[in-house]
Amino acid sequence: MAAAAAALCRRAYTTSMPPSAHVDVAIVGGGMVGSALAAALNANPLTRQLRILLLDRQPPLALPRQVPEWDDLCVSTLTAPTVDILRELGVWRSLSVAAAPFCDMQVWGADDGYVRFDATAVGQAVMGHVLEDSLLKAALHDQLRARGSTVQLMMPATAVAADLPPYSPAAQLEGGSFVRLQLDDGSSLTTRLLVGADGCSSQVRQWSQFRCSGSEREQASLVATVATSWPNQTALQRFLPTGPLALLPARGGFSSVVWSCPSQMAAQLQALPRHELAAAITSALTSGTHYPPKPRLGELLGGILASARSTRFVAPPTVTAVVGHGPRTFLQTAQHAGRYVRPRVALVGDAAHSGHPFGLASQGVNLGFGDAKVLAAAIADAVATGQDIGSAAMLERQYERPRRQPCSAMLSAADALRAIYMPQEGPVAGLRSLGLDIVNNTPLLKQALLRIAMHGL
Amino acid sequence: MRKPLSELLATAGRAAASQALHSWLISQPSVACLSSLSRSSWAASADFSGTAGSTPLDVPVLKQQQPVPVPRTVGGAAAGGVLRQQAPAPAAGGAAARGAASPSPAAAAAAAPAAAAGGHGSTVNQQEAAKFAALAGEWWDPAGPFAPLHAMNPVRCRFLRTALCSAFGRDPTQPGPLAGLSLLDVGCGGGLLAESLARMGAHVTGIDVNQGGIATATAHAALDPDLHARLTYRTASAEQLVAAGECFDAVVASEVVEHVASIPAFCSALAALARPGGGVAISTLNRTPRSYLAAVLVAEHVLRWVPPGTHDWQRFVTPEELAAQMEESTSGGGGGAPLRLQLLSGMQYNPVTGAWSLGRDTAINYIAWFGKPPGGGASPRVAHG
Ligand SMILES: Cc1cc2nc3c(=O)[nH]c(=O)nc-3n(C[C@H](O)[C@H](O)[C@H](O)COP(=O)(O)OP(=O)(O)OC[C@H]3O[C@@H](n4cnc5c(N)ncnc54)[C@H](O)[C@@H]3O)c2cc1C
Repeated sequence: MAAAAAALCRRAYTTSMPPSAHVDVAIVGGGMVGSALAAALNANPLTRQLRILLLDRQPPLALPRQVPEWDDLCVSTLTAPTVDILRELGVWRSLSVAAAPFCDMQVWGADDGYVRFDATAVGQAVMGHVLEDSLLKAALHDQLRARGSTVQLMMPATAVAADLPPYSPAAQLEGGSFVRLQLDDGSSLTTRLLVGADGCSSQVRQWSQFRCSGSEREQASLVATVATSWPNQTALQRFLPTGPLALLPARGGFSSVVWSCPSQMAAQLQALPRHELAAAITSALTSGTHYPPKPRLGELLGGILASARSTRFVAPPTVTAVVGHGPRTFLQTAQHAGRYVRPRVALVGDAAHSGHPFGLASQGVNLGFGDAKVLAAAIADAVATGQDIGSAAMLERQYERPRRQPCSAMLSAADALRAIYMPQEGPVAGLRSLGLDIVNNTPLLKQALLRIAMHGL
Repeated sequence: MRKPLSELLATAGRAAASQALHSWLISQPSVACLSSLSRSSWAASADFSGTAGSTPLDVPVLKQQQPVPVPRTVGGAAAGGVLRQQAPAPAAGGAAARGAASPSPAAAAAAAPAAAAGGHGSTVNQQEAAKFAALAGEWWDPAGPFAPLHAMNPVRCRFLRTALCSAFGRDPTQPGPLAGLSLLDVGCGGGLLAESLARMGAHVTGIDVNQGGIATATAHAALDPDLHARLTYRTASAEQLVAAGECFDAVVASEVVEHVASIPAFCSALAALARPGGGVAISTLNRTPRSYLAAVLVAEHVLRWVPPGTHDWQRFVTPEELAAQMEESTSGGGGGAPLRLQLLSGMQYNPVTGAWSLGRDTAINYIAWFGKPPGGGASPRVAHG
């Protein structure tokens, strides 16, 4: 069986650059967010003529002819606005066959109480899509290498240092005003705008000397692709005292598991034989004195609040086997950069904000796509009005200000959930099940949360 | 010498004005709470309403105007005030129409012969020049003394892009649509607007009688190799260029008119510098009670965006007056066919988002495009496309 990753052809792709080249936009990081930004800039006639450089440590990916049978471990849940962006970029057509849609989501804890969201409640057929990160990246990389693309790819290439212009315009008059970026092969280039799309341990963020708020503590996430006793069609997320465990419907009836827990525990889980890991996942989803959770309030109020079918508890399927490459563990820290911009620098995606996988569905990459869209629009507007695309004032007004609020809100929502679910004792434990229950039985509140889960804030 | 506030309030209707002041005092002092007042409560607010809707271009609320019947005589009662007709400033009165630099003797000395050489006298008002020269040269600091210009710049550029693209038949959806056009930025200061216009592809000549501004602009342009070749800065007045017989596809005077000594003379100079088939763009402050509250009271005294004394409200000109003036100055001055107001848009500041936008409301800031008909068979030079 051809392994999914092997199907994605990796090969170096470097447009040769003369030494000391000058570009308009240099994007460090060809992950999902950096690639989406490059594709968005290339899609707009106003920005296509800019000299855009995308660089990444890794060679670019290419979509395989045939969609692999199961997921390549790392998957993301894509919200409707993200799918809209991908559609606009012209990559959704090739991805839609591989993306697994789901129309409802259920969240519950270790105690009684649960909440179930149904897209039909807000008049939508689909709540989101589950798709491998690697396929999404591959489709974007293909797009960037297609005819008509003017984006230069330097992959693999690593940015090792940057010389940033000072904040003060007077000092810029003295010391030059572009960014000088050093690459690992010893070459360097200057750029009008440097975009840090280099993930949660962003170098660009460090060079910019942005302070970061967030937990020091790393949360580990174990990811695996599993087969289940019946095809799972609901995005299931159980908040365990050790962290959330998600079972996401994936292509071909398989499911993706994202199990966040302390790193020691993740290491132990990863060391288990596959069949034991499968059993552990099932038991984590279904065990406990309060399983299956009872809708407490619902019982009290009978049919008054509880609206029929869509509030019923969906029992998770039994995990029968771990398939594919087997479990892998990722470390995540929740971080939020104090600033996203400075003269000639902007951060997007996880470089600006990375969350722990708490939340109604981990919103990480969806926030990142939002960043890419808004930044690309800001750059296009700057071009249209003759502004400097690296101007700190423009970046602040047109990019940072509109993005900070939704990003903070989403990170705080995740923090709140974490605060509610991590402690085991005391009144909070009772409150949280009650809380979920209230949500589940209050249509308006539920719809509001559902909209957030589906569309972001 | 400003009208006392009480007089303004009487003009405007006491109830509405006190409501304005009230909301202005209780909320975060802002320009917008003033502009949120219903327009009808201001008897004197100027408006070219009643004309066609928005253009299909990217300027949202822009009026494509046929020549409007404007009062022929400047200072008609309808406009709510008398445009001060000033004698040309004394020849020694060089210095800035708009600019910022230390008031160096060198600047004054350089400007003096400039005014004399013009032969038409200079429209540059000495006192006005001194006010601006007193502002230190922080032209390029978006948080500095010129922050309002920085904030407004994208909006006036959006208007100019639309106006120039439509005047010269360019595609505004493409980058660099002004390629090959020669523009003159009168009162360019530190080059904020000139650089933006050059980025849209134009060849821009920036002039200012303030040497400090020109020095700043020149140094800043040198930072950008992409723009360098398309920017020229000179210490000169508009009158000097007229005397030298220079001509441009379009002439832009942004936030300058309110500082010149003689608006008629200045308008004549601008009109003379534009090629037939081209035109003149002017942005300035309207003379309405709201502009008094916003530009003088709030911006100078409350928010301290610009130093107190920067603006002399009575010197502000309404769009009607400006249109009459542009028409008059050309038809009278023998500069060919009269320039006609073709596009007009208000520029509004939103204190919540801190952003400016184009819109219908011209009561405070406005920007206008005056087209110069292609006279005598001459067509606009659309240089090397
Ligand atoms: C286990 C796990 C599960 C997740 N599940 C979800 C989910 O269900 N839904 C969701 O929305 N989000 C999810 N996320 C979050 C999501 O994966 C991230 O938000 C997303 O990948 C961020 O993309 P990015 O492009 O900003 O950064 P990254 O994907 O981290 O990309 C950064 C890129 O930069 C490159 N790079 C870094 N430094 C340099 C350098 N100096 N020079 C050159 N290149 C460099 C790297 O090679 C990398 O390719 C999950 C994350 C994890 C770890």
